[in-house]
Order: sequence, then structure tokens, then C-alpha cells
Amino acid sequence: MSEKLIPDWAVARGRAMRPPLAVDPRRTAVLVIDMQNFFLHSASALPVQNVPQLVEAINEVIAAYREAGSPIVWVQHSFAGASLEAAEEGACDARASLIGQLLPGNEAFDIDTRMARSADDHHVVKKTASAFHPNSGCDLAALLEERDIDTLVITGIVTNGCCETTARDATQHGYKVLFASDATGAMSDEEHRAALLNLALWFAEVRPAEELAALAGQSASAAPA
Amino acid sequence: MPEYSPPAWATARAAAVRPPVRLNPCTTALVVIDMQNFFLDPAIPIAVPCGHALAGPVNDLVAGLRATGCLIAWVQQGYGEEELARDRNRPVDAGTAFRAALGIDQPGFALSDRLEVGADDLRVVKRTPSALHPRSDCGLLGLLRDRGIETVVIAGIETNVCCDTTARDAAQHGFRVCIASDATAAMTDAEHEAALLNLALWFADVRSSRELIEMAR
Repeated sequence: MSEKLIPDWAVARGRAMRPPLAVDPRRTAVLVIDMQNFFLHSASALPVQNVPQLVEAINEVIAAYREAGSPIVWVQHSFAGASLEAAEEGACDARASLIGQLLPGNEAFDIDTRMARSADDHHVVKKTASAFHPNSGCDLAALLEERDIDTLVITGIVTNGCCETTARDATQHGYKVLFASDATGAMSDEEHRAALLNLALWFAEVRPAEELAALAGQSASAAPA
Repeated sequence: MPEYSPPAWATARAAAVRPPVRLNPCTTALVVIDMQNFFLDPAIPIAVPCGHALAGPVNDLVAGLRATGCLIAWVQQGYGEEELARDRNRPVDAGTAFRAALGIDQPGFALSDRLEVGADDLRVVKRTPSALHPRSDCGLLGLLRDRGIETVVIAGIETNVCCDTTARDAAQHGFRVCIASDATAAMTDAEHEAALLNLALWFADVRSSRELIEMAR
């Protein structure tokens, strides 16, 4: 993508609204949202684009923050307990596919094996777009609070759905939010860019994976031993 | 803002993830977000006058939906001592100035006097972008549930901030959600349209006021 993902005026206006960015990896967690088989295969009812680059970019962010001591939290979406209403039957084929397949025990629910996971990582399963929503069925806020986390790095899919909604919610809970521009993915460029624009303006510091990874390293070396 | 409808590919994909919203006036609330002097009145110092042209379209939508029997709820953004005290320990930036001008004792906080607010309408003051967030402290979720509301129509400002965030929260609480494309506004066309596109794809039907009033009849 040669053209800038977010226009300069939006980056400048967003930054003027927030204190300057500082990352302490000991108080930072990486959220990896919904990197489940369901979304990552071209035969999916809702396929995400540029999957190989996305996987690589997320793994780059994870490696840098894991090295710096930040917890990694894997988030998965489950439709357990959901059912199609009468009005949805026949018309909502993508929703039928989600409800039928995104269930614990199914391969579609599992995290893609290309993702760099470690035994020390944390896992939560959510039922809403935001991993912080009262109806999410997970207690991400408690997990983060126990570890004194005040900054989140958001990666995963889909940019404008679960990633953007979780980022908006995280800001409202008082977290500082870093949002990965190329370690998040959507089903089209247009919606991906639309989400990055509004997040950069109002809710998050939006940076590419390479810069996010560098921030983890710089801060770690600057921190007292 | 120029008229906007999501592109055909977006509405087609949205139809595959949720059925179109229908409006039953007995179970529908119009939630009007942040139509405050701060956003509407260019005479307020550091005001963000993106809403100066919005009073007319919002009043038209309110009147149209009120006539069908829909509940009307007016939301205001207001910062109290807790937020403002925290800001006093920070260097001044556009964010601290924004919150100071929306302090609950400031002229920017008041609803614009150009709005037609009814005596029976709901009124709440929120502290977060979403009027349905647990930290909003505004009680709107309970008020809507108590009245049997199942469908929420969002209007007001700013499209991509408080309107969008409230719409996402409403959808996650199980409400059916519409957003009025011509009774919302943002600081630029780009961010207004970006929000309407992403809401249409995943969370809310994007409709004009005329369509919404027709749907509720």
C-alpha cells in the first residue's frame, strides 16, 4: 500500500488530544483478537484479506513485547448459546455460518497454528465484539488489573469490528491504547482505513507493527533493571 | 454534511450478518447525543461548531418519531470534579481544553436552546463517549429496559465518537440499532462517512430521517 493509511491531518489532530505516548512494557499487555481459523481461510463466509502479512506482523509485535516481559492475551470469539431468529433464517447466511461454526470444540474456533503462542500466554473467550463489554462473558479487565496493566497493544481481526470496539471500550476504561495498523486486518481496505482514521482521531495511537515492536525494545532498555 | 448512504457492497454484506431493522414505535427510543452548546454554538470559546447546522434536522427527526409514539432521550456529555481534577495535573492540550469546556457548570454543557425538548422526554448526563458504558454513570440502559425498549435510533454528534460508540454498545446489549445519516454530524466528512460505513457493516442500519419516520409509521 503506497498511499498513507491515515492522512497527516488526522494523525496530528488525534495526537493533540492526548498526552504524548510513553510505553512501559511491564505495564503493557498485547491483545490478539479473534485470530481463529474461521476468518483466515478464503472459503470463509467472512474472509479477512492479506492473511500471510497479517500473521507475520502480529507475530513480530508479540515477539517484541514477550521479550520485554509484557503479557500476551489471546481472545477468541464464541457464538455458544446464540441461535438464528426467525427474521434471520434464509437471509443471514454469514451469521448462520458464524453461529454454526464459531463454537469451542470446532476447528473454526481454534487459533490459527501459524500464530506464535507460548505456554505462559493468557486466553479469554468473548461473546461480544468488545472483550470488555458486560455481556462478553469474560473478565479481561480483572486479568489486566491483577497485572497492573495500564497500556494495551491491540492486534488481530477484524479491524473495524472486534478490534475497534475493544479499543473504544479500553479507552473508556482508562487504558492507553496502541493500535496496530498492519497487525490488524479486515475484509476490505476501505473498512480497515475507515476504522484506523476514527481510532487515530479519538481513541488510540495507531502505528505499524515495526514501530510498535521498536517501542517495546526501546522502553525495555531504558527501564531501570 | 453531504448526504451519505453506504455503498451497495456494504449493505449487501450487512444483510448477510443481520436482518434489517424494523421500527415498532412502542418499543423504539430515539437517543439524541450531545446536542450541546459546545458543539452547536460558535460563540462559545473553543467550541467545536460541527453541529451548528444540525438543530433543524434533529428537531425534524424528533418531531417525526415523537408523533408516531417513540420515546425520545436526550444525552449530554458532562465532566465533573473527578475528571477535571485529574486534568489539572496534566499539561494543557486539546483534550484537557475539550473536557474543561464540557464541565457541568460551563455554558458549553447546556443543551442548545434551539432544540425542541419535550417535558416527558428522558434526560441523562454521561461521562464516557458511550451512553451505555458501565462508566457512563447515566443510567440510560436501565431507563430503556424499564420502558421495554428493543430498538434504538441514534442521532446527534459526533457521528464517529459518541454516536458510533453508543451504537456499538447498544448492539452488544441486544438492541436493534439504526443511525440517522442526516441527523448526525462530525468535524469532517471523512470521519462521518467512515463511521457510517463501519456501523452499517457490523452494528446498525444507516437510514435517512425521512426513511426512519416512514419506518415508524
